[in-house]
Amino acid sequence: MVEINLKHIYKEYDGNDNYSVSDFNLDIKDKEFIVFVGPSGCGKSTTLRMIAGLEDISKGDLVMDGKVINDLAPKDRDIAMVFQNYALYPNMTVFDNMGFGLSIKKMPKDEIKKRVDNAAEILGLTDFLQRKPAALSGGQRQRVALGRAIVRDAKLFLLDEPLSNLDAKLRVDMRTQIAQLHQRLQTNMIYVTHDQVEAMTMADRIVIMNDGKIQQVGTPDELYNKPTNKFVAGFMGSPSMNFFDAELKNGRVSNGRGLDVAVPEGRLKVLREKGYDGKKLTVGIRPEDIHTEQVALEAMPDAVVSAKVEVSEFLGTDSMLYSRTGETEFVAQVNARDYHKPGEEVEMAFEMSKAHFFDDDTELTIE
Amino acid sequence: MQANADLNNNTPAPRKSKKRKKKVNWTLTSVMMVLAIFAILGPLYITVVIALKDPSQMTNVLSLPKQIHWENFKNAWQMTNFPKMFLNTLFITVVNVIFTIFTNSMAAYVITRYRLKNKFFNMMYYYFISAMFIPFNVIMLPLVKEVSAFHMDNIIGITFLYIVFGLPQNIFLYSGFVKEIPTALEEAAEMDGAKPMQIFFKVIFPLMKPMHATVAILSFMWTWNDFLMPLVLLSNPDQQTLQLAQYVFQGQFSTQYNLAFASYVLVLLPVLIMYVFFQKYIIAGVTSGSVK
Amino acid sequence: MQETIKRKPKRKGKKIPFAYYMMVVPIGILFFIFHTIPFLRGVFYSFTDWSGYGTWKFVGLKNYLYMFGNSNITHAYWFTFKFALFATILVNAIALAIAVGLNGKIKYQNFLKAIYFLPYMLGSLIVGFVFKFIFGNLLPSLGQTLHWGFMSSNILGTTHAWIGILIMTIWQGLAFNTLIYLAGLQSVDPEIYEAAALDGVNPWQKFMRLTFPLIAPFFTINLVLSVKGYLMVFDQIMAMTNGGPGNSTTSISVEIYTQGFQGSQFAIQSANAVVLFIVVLTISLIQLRVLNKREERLG
Repeated sequence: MVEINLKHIYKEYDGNDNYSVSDFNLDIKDKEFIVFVGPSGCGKSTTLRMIAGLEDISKGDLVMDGKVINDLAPKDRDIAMVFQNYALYPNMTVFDNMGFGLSIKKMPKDEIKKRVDNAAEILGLTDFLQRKPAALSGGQRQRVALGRAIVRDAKLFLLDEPLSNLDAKLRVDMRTQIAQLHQRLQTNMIYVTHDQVEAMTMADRIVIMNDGKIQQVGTPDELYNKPTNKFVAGFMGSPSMNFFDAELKNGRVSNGRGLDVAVPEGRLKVLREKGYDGKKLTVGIRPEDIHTEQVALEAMPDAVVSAKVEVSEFLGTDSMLYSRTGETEFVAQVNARDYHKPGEEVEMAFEMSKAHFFDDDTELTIE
Repeated sequence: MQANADLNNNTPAPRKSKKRKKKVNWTLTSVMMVLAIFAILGPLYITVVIALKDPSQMTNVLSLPKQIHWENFKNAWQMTNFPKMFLNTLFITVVNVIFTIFTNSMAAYVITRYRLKNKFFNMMYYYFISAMFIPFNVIMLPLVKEVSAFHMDNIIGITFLYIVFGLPQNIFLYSGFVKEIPTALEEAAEMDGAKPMQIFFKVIFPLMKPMHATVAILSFMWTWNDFLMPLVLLSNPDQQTLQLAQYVFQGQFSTQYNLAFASYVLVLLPVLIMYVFFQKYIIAGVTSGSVK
Repeated sequence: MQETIKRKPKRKGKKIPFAYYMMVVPIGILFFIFHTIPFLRGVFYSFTDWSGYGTWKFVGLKNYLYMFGNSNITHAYWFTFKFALFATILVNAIALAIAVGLNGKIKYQNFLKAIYFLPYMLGSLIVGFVFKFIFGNLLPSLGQTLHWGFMSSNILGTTHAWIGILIMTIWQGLAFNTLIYLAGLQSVDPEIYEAAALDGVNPWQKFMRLTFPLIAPFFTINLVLSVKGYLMVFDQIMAMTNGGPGNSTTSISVEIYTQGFQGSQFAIQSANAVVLFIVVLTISLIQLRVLNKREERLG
């Protein structure tokens, strides 16, 4: 049973007035797979390293199973970590790399062998145990790094961008392997990535960070469908959400540069109650909520714009239409059957019931 | 962090120069060869032939000996107390190389790793680097007084001084190397529960192997061929090195050139034998010690 | 439930384990005792009249003033500067030429490289003895047989003795400098030359406009190390001339050694050592500055 609580954690570096991480609060439940996601420099790795004990915590408490462990050395925290560049010891064989932590703890040789063999079996590394890291492929090195963590049988697994050095196909494979590993080991894992797809596919809960602050904590579904602010809405999903600076007038949002669509009754009511009638706000709509099918055009006649396709990408099941209406550019993700060539004039319906509205100043979702 | 991938990367570095089949420039080859034989090997040839002759054959110095006088070596061996001097020099060299590698790499590692985070280590770095500008000749007068006060004017004392005096140069050499080792390795070891000493000796020390080789070669060359430090520090005839003995016995050889040269050959031989076997490593080591 | 540990609200950076201090501090202290203290004591003695034993008193700058008036010491500086200047220029020019030759399309390249580097392995003292014989016996007898007047006497016994020392120094010094220049030449990407060939560059332009700027950092290394080394010249002088004839080949180091230890000028030679230190430091720093600037311009 492992519970981890991060309470008002701050990180400050010498010669830097701003906090690299500020007021980080999070309660991690037993066996949970948590992903920290955010752009580079957002403080996600720093937070992970503070949990590992590789960085000091400037302020706040790190609590593990009810005990404050801020001042505990990394080796006493019972935490295993996988590094971005694997950090395999180049002078040791795969076997010695995996068994190093155990031999440091003076574990008997046969017990080390049992554990390493077992981990190698899980990861498919049995044939490579006597090789040096230099003689392994990127994917194999990645698995050795995982194996080094597995044999430790630690309470908590930390993974710092472990897949960022792999090619695209291998990354997808390893994503599944790590998810399976989590199922099998039933330990807490904290996984840091800048890739929102990894976050969405692997996490029980995602912590999304920007500028050293938590933006939102929630399940992948919550973050995608109910982002609390413009940053989260824009970060999650690919291609990103379309944003428009617009004004709410007469039940329609318009930017005066080509976009002019009606807001459905229910959403309009909320916006009016919050006092946005006649005011500027930001409208966000995901590419997949812009439609070209005849059915949609008929169903939402007052949210149809006539747009010109400028670039069109065919992706198999979908096509991306980089389009323009008036002077407003946006992306629509439509069924591949509705492929349109660049230059075509196409009618498109904005499914405004799925749109998101943000305050211009606070960038928070209006709800 | 990006550059760190290197250590785990085994893809061979792209060959800078593609081997192009080109015509050999034989004129240049001959010029370089003739120059090498006459200018470089010439003096060595003279040394060897004189060592093998007796005075009666010295009228034509450059000719090959008609009769080889091995007894020159035997006489020189006895006259200069060669075995004793050889063992003294060997002791200084070997002990210095071993201790230098352990102690200097350790200090260099810590200083390099922590000098950007910690003022004390940064100060130590600049302290040692600036000491490189103080040649031995500048400190030798007071040093001799200090060394005799400490009763260190013997083989063990001078060995100790070599280890300590090598620090500035070796910290400079190791420092450039340590910078390239990714810190993630130490962090991984730390997460694996290793203590500082274990991190250094089990993870970092083995990785420094190429630089150990360079430091070992440069330390060896320095101590084996050094003349000034033994000259000013070692006075007891039992506590002298090969180089110093050559100087001391110079007067006794007077015009017995054959003996003197036999003695030079005895001193040069160990280094030459080593050079024949490890020539590739020595050249690589000296180059990487000077050129980054 | 929670243990609260009193902590300072703000502690920056990660604490460095005690073991790491132990890896630096003891040897640092030894270095201080055996290197820095002698250096400081040397500076201290240079302001006294200590003769190496017995009592002493402060004399201010007297030793330094004496140095400038003493013809032996001023001659040692004159000789050392002259020697260092010639040795540096000649060694580097010849080494560069040999390196260019070794970098050419020659056969047995590695073998020749090993031969040219060989003198580096040999102690200067013994090389000095061998050259002393060559200059003292071999060349004069050869000169007499051939009736070449300039060669029939021992150059080391004449006012040109320094040239003998210079020749021996060049013979040995070439090894290291050639190696460094060769490393520099081999670091140049051959495609640059191919591009230059397409641009119709002639060999001299190729060397001056391409090769030399590209190996400028290696030139810097060699020049700084050469000057520093030759200002310290000692071993070969002790082997070949002992500073003579007269004191014509007495370098600063030889002067410090002979007068400081065997003479009674402990304090004066301490001042001499301090001046030597300042000279070496100044020249090294100026060289690094000037050469780095020029490299920047060229680079």
